[in-house]
Amino acid sequence: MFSSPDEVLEEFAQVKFIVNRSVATAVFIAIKLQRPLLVEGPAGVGKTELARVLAQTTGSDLIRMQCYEGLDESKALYEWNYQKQLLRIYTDKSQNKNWEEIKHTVYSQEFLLERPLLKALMAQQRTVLLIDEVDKSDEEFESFLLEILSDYQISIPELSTITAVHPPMVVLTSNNFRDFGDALKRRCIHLYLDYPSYEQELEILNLKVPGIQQRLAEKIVAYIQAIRQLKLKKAPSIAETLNWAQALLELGEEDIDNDVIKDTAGVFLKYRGDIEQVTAQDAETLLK
Amino acid sequence: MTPLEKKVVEFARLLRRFNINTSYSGIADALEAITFLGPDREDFFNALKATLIKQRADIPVFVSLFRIYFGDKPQGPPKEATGDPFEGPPDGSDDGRETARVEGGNSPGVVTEQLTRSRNQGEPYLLLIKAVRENDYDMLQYLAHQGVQNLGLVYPQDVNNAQTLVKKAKETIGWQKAIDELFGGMFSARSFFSEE
Repeated sequence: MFSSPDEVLEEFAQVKFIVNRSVATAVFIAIKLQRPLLVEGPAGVGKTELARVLAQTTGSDLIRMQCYEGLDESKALYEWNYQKQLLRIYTDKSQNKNWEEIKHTVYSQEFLLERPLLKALMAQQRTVLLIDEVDKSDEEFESFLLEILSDYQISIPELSTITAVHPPMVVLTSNNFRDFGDALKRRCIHLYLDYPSYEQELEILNLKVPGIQQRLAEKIVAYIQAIRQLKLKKAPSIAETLNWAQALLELGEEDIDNDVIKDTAGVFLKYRGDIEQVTAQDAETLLK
Repeated sequence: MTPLEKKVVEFARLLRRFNINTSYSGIADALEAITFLGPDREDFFNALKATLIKQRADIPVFVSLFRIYFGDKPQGPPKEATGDPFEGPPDGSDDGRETARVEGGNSPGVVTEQLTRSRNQGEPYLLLIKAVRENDYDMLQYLAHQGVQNLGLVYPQDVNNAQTLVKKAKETIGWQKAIDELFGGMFSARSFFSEE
């Protein structure tokens, strides 16, 4: 595993994931201290991607759990497979087995439906557990999560208590949809992932869209960085920068001017109001 | 406790004086985290940020206080004889950006503009009043940040006088005037300063 933040940076760069040292240090500390890493930041800066890359670079499996309102233990942890249990009971009964025997069989691992959290706890090898958009879950679920993340064990009353052999590396992401509890935050190493700096975004662009002219790349990034400062409903994400660059490349554009932006703004902006606001401004002025 | 550990604990206490809620587990994490890192100042800064700070809104104040408390390169406070491994400031590049972005808050430009205007008029306390009345948390954070920045350089030993520092920071943004205006002199500012 990683021995320094620099190594995190290098490994991440090898899979073309560019982060700054502050991010690498937070990741490094979370791993060393075996703490969950709570990643906050605007949509599209690579929060989910961070977990995927972490799994990839550490040779772990990625187990993902998407949070939503109403997510409960049966969807997050485990559930008994009732249909299968019933079928078994029915078959056993016809063979005149007694209840004690039947009970023993139907409450075994075979009839357990493992959901992401249980899967992560029972994994036989290292895993990265991604708990995506944790701010969308309910408060009840949050306290339940806190309990699991404290000792990495759960008890299934009918079966036994399961303790993780390899505690998973946990990455929680949040868009600040809801401000969630201090207790959970206290457990975590906190990381605020922001849009990349100009230099970083240029590096990402060169990596992901090879063959783009340097001058055009510089202008694209400068322009995107400038409009992120405007009050938009949805500022362009890194993916949208890349899509736009790809589109310009394929259209054979070599420069950005007002006309080009008018024609292609739909690639990096997703709301009509945003497009109107951006195209109303002179590109040259924004680029300054 | 090593001198460095002691400084971290003191620093966490200083953060708390500025309403950044550092928890004991956060401090314990910070102390553990630095044992895994080499004597690199930037790493040290990032480690404290990752373990002591739990929300984005606190980052600007943290950055200011870190620079003040642990010194700024090159015209920082004289180094203490504690043998600290770090000398310069963190490479402020990305965190400067964060500061700038947070200052912009949800209304980029507007807050800064307001502040510049009010500063020109010499009346940041008006902003303070407005922020309290409108429950504008971003603005309050911003003003707190500003207050800390206005302090300029603070020497590490000053942390023992944290109350005085807080008081000074509050004064620079017109705290007393704002309190008078808001509560019509019902409270003396003293009751706000003495927290112990």
